[in-house]
Amino acid sequence: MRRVAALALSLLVTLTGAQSQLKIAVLEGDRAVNDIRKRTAREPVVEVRDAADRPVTGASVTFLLPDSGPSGVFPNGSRLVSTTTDENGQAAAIGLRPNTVAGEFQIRVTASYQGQTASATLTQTNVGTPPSRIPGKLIALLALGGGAATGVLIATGGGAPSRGDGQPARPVITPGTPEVGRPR
Amino acid sequence: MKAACAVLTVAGLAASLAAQPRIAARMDCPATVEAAQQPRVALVLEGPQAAPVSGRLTLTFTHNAVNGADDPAIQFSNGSRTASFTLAAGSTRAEAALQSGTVAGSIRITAALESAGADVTPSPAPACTITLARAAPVITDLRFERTGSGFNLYVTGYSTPRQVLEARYRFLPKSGYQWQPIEIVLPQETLSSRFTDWFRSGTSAQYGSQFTLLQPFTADQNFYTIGSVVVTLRNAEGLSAEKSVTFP
Repeated sequence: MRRVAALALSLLVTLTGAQSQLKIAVLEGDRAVNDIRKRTAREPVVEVRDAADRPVTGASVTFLLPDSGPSGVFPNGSRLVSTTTDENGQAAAIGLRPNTVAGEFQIRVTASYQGQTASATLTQTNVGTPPSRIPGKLIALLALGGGAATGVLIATGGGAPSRGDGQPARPVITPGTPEVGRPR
Repeated sequence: MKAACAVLTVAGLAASLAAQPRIAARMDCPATVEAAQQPRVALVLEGPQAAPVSGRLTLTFTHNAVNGADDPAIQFSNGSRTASFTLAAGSTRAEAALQSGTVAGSIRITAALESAGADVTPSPAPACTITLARAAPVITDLRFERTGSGFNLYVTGYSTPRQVLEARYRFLPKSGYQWQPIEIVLPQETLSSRFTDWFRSGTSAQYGSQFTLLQPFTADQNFYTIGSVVVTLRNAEGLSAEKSVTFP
C-alpha cells in the first residue's frame, strides 16, 4: 500500500451516526482532473481511522460514483465497488476510469467497522472530448495493469486465489444493483 | 302558534330520549401495539343489562409513516374493518381480535350499541386508540440463491415507517478457513431510493410496509469458502436485529 505523507491529507471527515468515532481521511483523488480522451482518472485513496486517530485495518470501504452525468466506472463495470482497508488502514478504488461526459462529479465513500460508519465525498472533474475509437481490449489491459501495480486489495477482478500458506485467499465479493419489490 | 309547536317538538324529543336510555360503556384497548400482532380489544358495559345488547365495532387507521399508505392488513379477525357483537342479558364484556398490520400510525376503534332495536350508544361513543410506532426494520426471512456469477440474497421484512436507508452484509468464513469477515455496506444513495420507489408505488400499498430486497453479488473462485452472511437493515429509527443464512 502506498504511503502518503500526513501533509497530503486533503480531507478529514467525520460523519454519520451517533457516537461513531470512525473517520475517513482522503489521501488521494480529491479535486483531481480526469482525461476523457486518455480514459485515465485519479484513483481515490482513503485512510480509515478510529477515535484515537489510529489506522483501522479490515474496515469495509465502499466507493460510489454518480449514476448519470459526469462520472466513471470501475473495472467490474459497476459504479460501486467495495474493498477493505489494509494494514495501514488504507483502501483505494483501483481501476477507476472516467466516462465520456465532461464536468464535475462527486465520489461518495462510506466506511464501516464494527457497527460504526463514516462517510466522505471526493470531487473530481472530467475534461476533454471522447476519443474517436479505442479498442476495448486495450482498455481492459490498462485497467488490469493499474490494479496489479498498486497491490491494494480490491473487491473486483481475479486476484490471487491463495495466500501462500495453503489457505485460499479471502473471496472477492462485489454487490450489484439492488431491487426492491413485493414480499416473496 | 309557532312557539307552541317548538315547545311540543322539544317535549317529544325529551320523551323519546327518556324512553331509550343510553348504556354507559367504554372500550378496553392496549395503548400501543407492535407490528404484525393480534391484540384483543373489548367493549365493556359499566353494568349488567336486563335485555341483550348488540352493536358494532368500527376500525379506522391514520398512518404516521414516512411514505404513507393505508394498510389493508389492519382489520378485525373477521377480515373486515367492522365487527358485530351481541351481549346476552347480564353480560358486560364483548371481545374482538384484530391484526395490527405493519405500518406506523393510529388505529381507532369506535363502538355503536343497540338494545331492543334502538340506538343506545352513549355520547360520546365508546372509543379507543392504539398506536403502532415507527420502529427499526424487521427482517423476517433471508434466503440464498446461487447464480452463474455469484449469488443473490433475498431479504424479506417490514419497516413501519415505510423507509429503509441502508443494508449491511457481513460475510464469515466456513469452518476451517481463516479470513477476516467481509463487511459490505449498501449506502443510502444506492438503497434508499429503491425502497422509496417501492413504498410510493401503487402495488406496495396492499403489502403495508412489507418488502423483499433482492441483492445480487458477484464472487470470485474462492466463493466456496464463505460460510454464512449476517444481514442488518437500517432506517431512521435504528438498526434491525441481525439475520443470518448459512451458505451451502
